[in-house]
Amino acid sequence: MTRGNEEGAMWSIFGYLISGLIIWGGIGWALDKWLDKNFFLLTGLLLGAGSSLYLTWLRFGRN
Amino acid sequence: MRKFAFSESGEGFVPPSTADFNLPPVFADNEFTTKPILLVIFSVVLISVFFIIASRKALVVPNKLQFAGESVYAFVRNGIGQEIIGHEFMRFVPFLFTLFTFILTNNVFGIVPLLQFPAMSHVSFPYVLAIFTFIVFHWVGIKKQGLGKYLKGIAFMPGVPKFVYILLTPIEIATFFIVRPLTLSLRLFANMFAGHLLLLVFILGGEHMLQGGIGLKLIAPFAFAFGIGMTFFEFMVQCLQAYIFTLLTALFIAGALADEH
Repeated sequence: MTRGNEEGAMWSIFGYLISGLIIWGGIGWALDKWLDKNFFLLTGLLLGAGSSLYLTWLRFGRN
Repeated sequence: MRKFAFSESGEGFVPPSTADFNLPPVFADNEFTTKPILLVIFSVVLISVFFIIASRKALVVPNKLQFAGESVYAFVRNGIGQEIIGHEFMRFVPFLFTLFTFILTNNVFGIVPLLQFPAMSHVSFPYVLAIFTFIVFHWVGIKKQGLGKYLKGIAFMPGVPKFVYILLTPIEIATFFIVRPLTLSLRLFANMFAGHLLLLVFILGGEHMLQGGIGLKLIAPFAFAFGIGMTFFEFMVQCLQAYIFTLLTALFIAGALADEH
């Protein structure tokens, strides 16, 4: 739509990507620490990145 | 006040650091009278006086001062408020207008001679502003839609298979309650902090080179020229950051008002 809304969409997407990585990456990292493994962090980061991309598509790409 | 880089250590350039942002109290030991606090108070007085004078004798054919004041107001009201929030925008204009003028004035203080310090380069100031925005947009959303419906709208995206909520809901909640206010304040803080540091590097570096050998003395003007160029660049960044902060606040309010995201 307008320029302002596009700029807003950009920052919202940025927010989603950040929080996806932080939340699921953080959960993965905590599982790694707790269970003494090393693959949960990577799994979590990928999961978080994937989910936030999906969420971005749901919010902005579904019209 | 920073001492000259040269006299501080005798030899070698001391690069500017975070220590240059921790200014000592102006009056005796009272830690509530540091430069950033005084600048913030001064900015409030300045903004109030300017807009009171500009709007006191409102004329149909505005004079210069009234025109300047009305331009800023119209920019926030129409360019940000009306365009982003839509038909209910008028009740948020005072908040948006205050945010914009306050941030803009304090940012531009960073390049005004003698003042030359952006208060927003201390992270606490943007934090407080972001807390205001946080409270306003959640309060507006809760009041408009009711607490349950508002939270449901944030946490559960419609039209998605149920098991996907396990993945998406934590992200949505983190975005709305943590990432949004945090990025809002950190963006402003980091821009002002880095900008001020950049100016310090060029100007103090030039000043240091002036005290060196003849070769360095010849290069020093280039450092100052870059410092001046960067000052203009900073002015652009300062205006842009004030605009983005206000714009995002308006967008968050608009999102909270909308029934479905």
